[in-house]
Amino acid sequence: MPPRDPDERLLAALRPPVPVPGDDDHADGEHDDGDAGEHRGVDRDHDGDEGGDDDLAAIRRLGAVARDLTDDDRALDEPPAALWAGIAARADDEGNREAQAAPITATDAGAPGAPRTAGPAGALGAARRPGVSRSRAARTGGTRWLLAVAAVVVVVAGLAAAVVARGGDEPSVVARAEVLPLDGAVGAPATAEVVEEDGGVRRLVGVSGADLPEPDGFYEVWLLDEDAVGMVSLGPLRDDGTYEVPGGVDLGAFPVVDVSVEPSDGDPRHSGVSVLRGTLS
Amino acid sequence: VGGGHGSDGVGLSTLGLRYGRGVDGDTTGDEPQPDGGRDDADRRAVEVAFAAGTEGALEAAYRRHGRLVYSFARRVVGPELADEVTQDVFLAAWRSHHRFDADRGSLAGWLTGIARHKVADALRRQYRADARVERAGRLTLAEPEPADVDAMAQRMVIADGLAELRPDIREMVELAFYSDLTHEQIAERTGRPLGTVKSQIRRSLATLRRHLEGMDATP
Repeated sequence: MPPRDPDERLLAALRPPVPVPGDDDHADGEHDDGDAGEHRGVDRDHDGDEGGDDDLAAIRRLGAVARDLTDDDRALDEPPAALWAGIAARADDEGNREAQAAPITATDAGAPGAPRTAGPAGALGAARRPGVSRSRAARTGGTRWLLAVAAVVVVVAGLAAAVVARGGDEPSVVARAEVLPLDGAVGAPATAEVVEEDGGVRRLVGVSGADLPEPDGFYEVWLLDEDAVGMVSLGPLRDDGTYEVPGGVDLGAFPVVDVSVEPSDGDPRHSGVSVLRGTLS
Repeated sequence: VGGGHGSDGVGLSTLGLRYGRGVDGDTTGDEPQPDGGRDDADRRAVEVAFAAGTEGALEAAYRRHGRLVYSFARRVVGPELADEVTQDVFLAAWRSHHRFDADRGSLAGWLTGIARHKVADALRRQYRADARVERAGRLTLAEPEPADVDAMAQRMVIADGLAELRPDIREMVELAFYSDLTHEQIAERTGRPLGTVKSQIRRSLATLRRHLEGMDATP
């Protein structure tokens, strides 16, 4: 019988679980993992609800991490004094580049025949910065405009491609990735490709997750940026392994193919639990 | 205008942010303990400033969490690559500052989550360079992203969170973690009122779990 006082419940959750007869020793670790997964995504509904199941799961996980702490974990190394100067200088550089790059990007994108179709490498460098680092307000404000521009570019590119390549060439492979199971995940390595059809439509092919176990929820396919901070959903995992890459998405900025396990909780965000990953090049 | 070193002093004093420990000599002096804890409001101020991309917030974040990120990087990739990885972490975080959401977890956790990927990238680069030399064959090329790196990241962010606590509070929390004592016994042991013990432990646990949740917020 668990304690009724919420504070007592917190303490109990923090401490090693009392072994249940019949359970073997591995139950501890597995239990913690399960808690962590279950906890994600639903947490926000329970904020402030002390002693709720999610809170107890989070506390249990915290206790498990804390129990493993070593003196090494507690002893931090002092970074070299020059390290901050390096960061500051690079941040300044990027800030300046961003200031210069923003108007140029806009002109490029607006010009008919702009090299949007040139492939993933085209828009890598400077053009990526403003999109990523602009403030949320600016991004939201500019979204409609950007979408309009993107639509024009896609149409123009589509027409150009249709004129040039009438009669339908083979779709060309514009990028390729070895998609491998992440540590601890099950699944076979696979080669994923992004092909571009003559209409300019790009498709990611080869991500079917054939060997993945039945998920608790569903699998979702993503393109992540290199920092795994920004991401574009390509939708749930499909048996045919084929996904359309949305027109405006710059593969240079989102080069990482990622497959995650998503709980069916209605939260559209990435669960944080990835099983397969590979980088397009 | 970026978060440059030339103007950071101005930005920070405008924000009224206090630097973290490790840089000190400049603490505001209102703390009873020499190793005074950084309180929640202070932490929140940095987090909010960082999410907003406020000038000076990158430096404030570095002063607070640079040691944690650097130490973690150094243990995984070694001293030669640790500088570069630490720089990458803070620059990546700063570029994506608007994606940081303090409601989903702490900045320390979020930065550590990014660091986890940066060290994995660095290891992978190194691994590829090695593999080019060895060319041992496809099947051995599993991604070098050991689970213990992730576990170490979690431990280090929690260790750092504990170190941030005021020493008297840390004592209560560690008794909560590492002993079988009840709240009453912890109160007795530390000589603090029961109500204080309960509320401080509750509050500290809420603070600490945010670090793990911040890590979860980066896939």
